Amino acid sequence: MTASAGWTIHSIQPILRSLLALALAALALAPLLSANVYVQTLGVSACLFATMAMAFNLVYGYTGLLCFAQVAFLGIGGYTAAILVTRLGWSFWVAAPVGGLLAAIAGLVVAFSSLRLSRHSFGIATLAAALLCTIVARDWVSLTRGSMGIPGLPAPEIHLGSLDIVINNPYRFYGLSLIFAVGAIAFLHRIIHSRIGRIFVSIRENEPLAISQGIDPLRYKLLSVGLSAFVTGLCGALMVFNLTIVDPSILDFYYTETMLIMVVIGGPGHFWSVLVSSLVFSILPELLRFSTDLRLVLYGLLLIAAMLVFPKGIAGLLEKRGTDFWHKRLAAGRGQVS
Amino acid sequence: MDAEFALQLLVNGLTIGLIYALVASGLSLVFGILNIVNFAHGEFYMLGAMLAYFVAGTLGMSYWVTVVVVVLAAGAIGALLYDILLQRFEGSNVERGVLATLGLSMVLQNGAIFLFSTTPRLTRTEYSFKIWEFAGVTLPLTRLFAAVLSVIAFALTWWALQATQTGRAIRGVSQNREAALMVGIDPKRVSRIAVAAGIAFAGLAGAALAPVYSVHPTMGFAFVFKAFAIVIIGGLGNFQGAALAALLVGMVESFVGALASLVIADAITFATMLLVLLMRPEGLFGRGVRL
Amino acid sequence: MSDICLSVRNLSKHYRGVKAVDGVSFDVMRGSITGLIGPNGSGKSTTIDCISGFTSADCGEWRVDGRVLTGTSAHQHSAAGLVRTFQNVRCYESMSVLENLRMAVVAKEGVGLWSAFLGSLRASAADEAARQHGLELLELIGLSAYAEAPSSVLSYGQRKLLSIASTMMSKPRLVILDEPVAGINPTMILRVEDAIRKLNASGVTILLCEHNMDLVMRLCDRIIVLANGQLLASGTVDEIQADKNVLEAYLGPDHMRPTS
Repeated sequence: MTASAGWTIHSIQPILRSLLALALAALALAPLLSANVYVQTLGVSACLFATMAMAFNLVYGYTGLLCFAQVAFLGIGGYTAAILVTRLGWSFWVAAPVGGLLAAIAGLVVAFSSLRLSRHSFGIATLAAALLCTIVARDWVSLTRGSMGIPGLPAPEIHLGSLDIVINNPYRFYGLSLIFAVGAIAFLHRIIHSRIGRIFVSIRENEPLAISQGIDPLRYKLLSVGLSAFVTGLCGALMVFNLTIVDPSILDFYYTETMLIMVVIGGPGHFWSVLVSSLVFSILPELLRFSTDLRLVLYGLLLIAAMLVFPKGIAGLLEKRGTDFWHKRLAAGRGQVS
Repeated sequence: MDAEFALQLLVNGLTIGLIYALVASGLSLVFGILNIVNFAHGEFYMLGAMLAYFVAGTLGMSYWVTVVVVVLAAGAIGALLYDILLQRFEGSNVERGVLATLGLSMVLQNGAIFLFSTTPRLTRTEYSFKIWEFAGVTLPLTRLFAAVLSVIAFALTWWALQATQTGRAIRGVSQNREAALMVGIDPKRVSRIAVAAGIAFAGLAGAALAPVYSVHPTMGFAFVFKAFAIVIIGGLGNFQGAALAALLVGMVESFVGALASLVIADAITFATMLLVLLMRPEGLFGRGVRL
Repeated sequence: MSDICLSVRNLSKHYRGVKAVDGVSFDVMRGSITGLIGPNGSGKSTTIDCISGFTSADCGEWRVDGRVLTGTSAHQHSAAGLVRTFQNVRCYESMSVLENLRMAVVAKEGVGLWSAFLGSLRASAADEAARQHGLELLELIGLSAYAEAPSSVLSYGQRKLLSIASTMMSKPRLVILDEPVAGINPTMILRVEDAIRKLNASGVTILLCEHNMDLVMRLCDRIIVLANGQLLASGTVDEIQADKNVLEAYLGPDHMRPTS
């Protein structure tokens, strides 16, 4: 998929790749070398947003399912981990994956109930699921403590033999987030470039053809939603333990809108361009210090503009150049090639 | 529960249900004609309420003048919305329409927050705090008028869909676009009118509820979700189904809200929607009774 | 095993009271190219939609090589060796031509999460084998120059060729071709015809649903004729050409008049 953008720039592509890798590495190291807490906090948020955006890219970009429940998965992961740790005294390292698992189960239930219907229904049902989670978070006070949230989440600790690390400052939390983000994004990369990933794309591109080739679309759509929800749930657990509090604001539609803009502008169904756009959109607005409302107005305008002018994102524009290149090349070679 | 209280709840449920019906059937109208779920629909309800706040509150116009002004403005905005934006997404894939209208919703809602802050405002009209009493049931006049306006809007629409050339054309296009094209209906004109009517419905709902509830930029957000649920329960694209489902939701809200809590009422609405999706995906009232 | 590859018995499908297909039964011999023809609205499309699992039939039974497929879903039909193409030609536009061919066999490899994730070595061996096979097929149908091109650059006719090559990839028992030459130019028709012969020569039985009578007469061993949702005739090309009912169904009773 990503290679498809490269025909016009075929020869310099390896160089571009290494430049991109270098830039990403430098970006990743910056908060570790910096003593600035703000930079480290921004780094944590960039790691989590990039992972969330890639998980959303899996389900929307690759599988073609416009799932609005990502924010619900985030919330379920965050709340589950927080409740398991504070109420039942579980270790963070067990509670977080359980949170991811619960998010995945919720995703499967919602997806299964609405996937058999039209794509409109899927969008609306996932949206409603997100809203239902907000209601639970805000109003099931005995479980979630309502709008007060659950404060004072303990810092995750690592005990390995004589090694004891308490992840209780932004520097250490950035380290944890970076390891998680790299691991999760590598996992998603592996899935996307495996045969399963290609099956996801085939379902998005042409479902009847995929069926005629023996692919069961429901099974793979559920797999895609489940994997995406699991990763997003893990992000939620990390997010709330970084903030040391979970409250209903984790279910804010703002997260959905941000994930959307990252994936849509980067180019749904493309890997590196969405990764880059997710980093740009997590870092740039912070540096420019936009207020949230103004930022969302701009995101909204950007979304409309993208749908009107470049619905396949930046990567789609590049890919079109690639296609034009083939058209030209084939037209030139029409003499020899029949 | 005594009979008077029950009657009161029934009337309350009917009133709010009628307003829900207005918003939901506007949504349904636009979906039926363009096959686009308008995610910005709630924002037009919010804009209607905002405009009513300014016309009635700031300019001091009377209640009825305000309603007429808001409806006309919303209709004009609807026609513009079709010409500038929605028209370009007719026949393109589902997600493009959804994302574009979602973008519009983000712009309108956050723009309103940016300009007016999230402070709730109360719209004062000459009917505020006046109460109508009948058989032991009390009803604030503003609520009563909201219900009456909704009924009038439905009656007018029903008549227009059945008896006028344009109304029949709208039904034709929403049932079968290609066939409508063949019998010489101009789909652009018909779509523009339908979208204008749908948005006017949302505006009317906003104007009618502005004196009842407080007006604030995020009011459309919560409202439109309920409208989505209603449209799903009633059957996507099913005009009467949406209206019936809206009345049901209004009743649930009134009774459950009074006897238990509003939260449980909301939860019931959304859970019903998920159940309907699971058991009867064509909606409670099926596809049989279309526009 | 008998010589019958596909047997259809008593297939019926109603749409809102209209009998699109009404009690149709026929057999397709193994190794044959069998034509399925009929005027517009005769029920051809509904028939192939039903027996490929894309539409649920009201009643009837169909088997491929003795295996009953009635009531199974469309992707299971494909897994059982019954593969179809589509009248409105379909391909994965964002994938290269070779990747399109690759997809035709991915499902057969039994893709579980772990096999895809852990079995990367095996997968690359399968990838390599599929690549070689795909290149051979592209050579066969004359699309080698396009192997690495995105399939969106292919012309309509080339896409039809590609869809036939895709069916060859998975080595099915039976291929249903849905109007493979509709809307393409005469030169391309010859190439498609050639591709169909090669598909058949590789041992695949073909049910050819087509309006182009010249092509049907040239290619088919046997022909099945539908009219008004019912089986009108079936037999060899010569038998069908001599059949009065068939002529009547196609041309209407008018052609009997001396003036026409």
